[in-house]
Amino acid sequence: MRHDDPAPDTPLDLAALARLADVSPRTVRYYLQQGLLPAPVGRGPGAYYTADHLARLRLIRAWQERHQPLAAIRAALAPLDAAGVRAALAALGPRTPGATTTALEYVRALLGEPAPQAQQAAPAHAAPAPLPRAEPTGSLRAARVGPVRERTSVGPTDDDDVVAMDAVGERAASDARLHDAAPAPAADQLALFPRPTRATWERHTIAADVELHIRRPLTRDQQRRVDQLLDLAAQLFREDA
Amino acid sequence: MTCSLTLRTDRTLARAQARSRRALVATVIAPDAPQRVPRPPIDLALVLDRSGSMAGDDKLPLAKEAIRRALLQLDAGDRVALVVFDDDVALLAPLAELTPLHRALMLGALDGVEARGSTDLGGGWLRGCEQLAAALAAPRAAGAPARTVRCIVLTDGQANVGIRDAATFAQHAEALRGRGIVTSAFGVGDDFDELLLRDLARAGGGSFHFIPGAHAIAGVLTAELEDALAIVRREAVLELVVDPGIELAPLGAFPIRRREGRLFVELGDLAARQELECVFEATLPHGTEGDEVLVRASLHTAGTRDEAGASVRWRFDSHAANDAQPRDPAVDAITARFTLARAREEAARLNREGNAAAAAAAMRSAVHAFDPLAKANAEVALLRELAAAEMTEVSAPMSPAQLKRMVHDVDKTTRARDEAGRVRRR
Repeated sequence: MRHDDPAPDTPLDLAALARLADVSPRTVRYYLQQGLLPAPVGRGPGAYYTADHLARLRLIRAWQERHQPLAAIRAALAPLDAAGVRAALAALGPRTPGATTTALEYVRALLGEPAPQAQQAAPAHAAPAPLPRAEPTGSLRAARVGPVRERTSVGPTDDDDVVAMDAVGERAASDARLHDAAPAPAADQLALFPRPTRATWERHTIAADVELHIRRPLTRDQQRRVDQLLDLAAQLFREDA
Repeated sequence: MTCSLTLRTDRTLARAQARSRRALVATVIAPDAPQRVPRPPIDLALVLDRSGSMAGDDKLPLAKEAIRRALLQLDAGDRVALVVFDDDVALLAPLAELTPLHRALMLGALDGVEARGSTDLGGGWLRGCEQLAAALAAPRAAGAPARTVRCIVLTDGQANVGIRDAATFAQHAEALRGRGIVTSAFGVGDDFDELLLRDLARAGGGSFHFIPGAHAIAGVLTAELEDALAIVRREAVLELVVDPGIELAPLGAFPIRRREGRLFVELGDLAARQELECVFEATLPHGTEGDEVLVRASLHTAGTRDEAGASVRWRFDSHAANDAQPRDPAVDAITARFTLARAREEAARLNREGNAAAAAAAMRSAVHAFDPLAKANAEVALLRELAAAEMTEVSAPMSPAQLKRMVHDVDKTTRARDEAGRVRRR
């Protein structure tokens, strides 16, 4: 609790709750929808929030400021009662002074890429957790235009881009020299722009109008699961026939 | 020349025997661009959706044409990166100075982009930000001017790969804005998530644009770049300090921070002659007749504290004196515009969630709130009529285009954009 908080049993409306937690009312509503916050007490215009709501909201915010994704926050909050929330909030304490990431460290951490060499000594908790690569939802097939193309697999373009980005200044100077030298780009200059990523796609027909698309390479474990999936799918569609 | 800051209230007396609610309007005006001084160079990441849906309604070809035209606004001192995304993200052109060679190679790469796949909006956006972040991390030559840093994302669809929720987008956009990267978001057509793009741009310190037809992309992108190339003040923050007992609730949409009893409104970068208002509802305590309470405002910009200052006082007086005091009609009109904007935002949210009845109720509240002032204030009367008309519109399920238009209109009002979505200039 903070020295300027209202008394613990003071009912709070949405605006007051949001203001005390330093978030927008819309953010509070979003957390309610996501099940991160329990519903207010009562319903309709008289509904109110309590100090427990405020503590939980502050804990969510503190974890977000430490770059934890909402899924992880939801999992961590689930077993906590009011006392547990307060204990967790107290345990966090203030952010460590100096534990500030640069923009590059922040983005690279989200993308799950190595930090810039000069910054690799930064505290681990200063960088955000890498984003999970979720499977596409919705009508992926409907969104795809044209046939799936055969592509060849190369190493991750991301590493090439990292090398390329570290040389922004050098490239600018290099461009100027090349421009002065000749109007038509030579083949080696085209290497300034890396080719789009390529990978191999396989199409497995399971039944009429039903296919499974796999992008290679797969790990051994992924291949085992795909084999199981194909066996199960074949069985299902044989049963339906 | 310096920024100007004024602070106004609707009424200058407060009730001694009860709490009072007053409106507070802070108006900031940026100076004109200095004469005979080159404009700051820009680092620009253009992030273009190439998902399958962009093949429809000529969206992708028109977006590509808009980018070609936008590059004409820039010169060799500016740096541009180009990212395209579907469910894969491709860096077509790393950030580099816009020499004729780089321009030609970028345009050539752009020509080869075709629509396909799903929408990893977050991945594309972050790849563009990565380019800008790498440049920010590079040592700056002595005497080199500070650069404007912008990431502009254009999409027509829903983020269905990678980051998908508005809160996470906003969280990261806010973090990157604090680290020097501003994000603007362009939504084309009827199918994108207007709340996600709005929140991305709000948290990112940039502009949200709803572009119903792809033919308008070029004009909007050109205008956005014109504003970005006219920055005269960076990282403007309005600081408000209030006497004990006063509470301030913001009615606008600029990010707010509270620290040690002070309120900080993050206005972002200011373009030449940009004019914006921050509107607050002030709740005043009761007090002793004759005493005063005070709000002080200061404007800080990058490298300059207290570039401008202003204050407002309220004097405690009797109920009778309060009832008889004059009002500032201009403040009433501005406050009514923001009140209507908040009602529309709430109504759009409720309608979007399928609760049209509650949406109509939100607009009805605004109509009633305007009743006392509408008789004496023509602009408030007009806003009341608008609210009454929209009550009908929101009481039935609204189309995606209607919702986007309402969300966009509200964002323009609360973030000081004009009808065309550009920063308002004096």
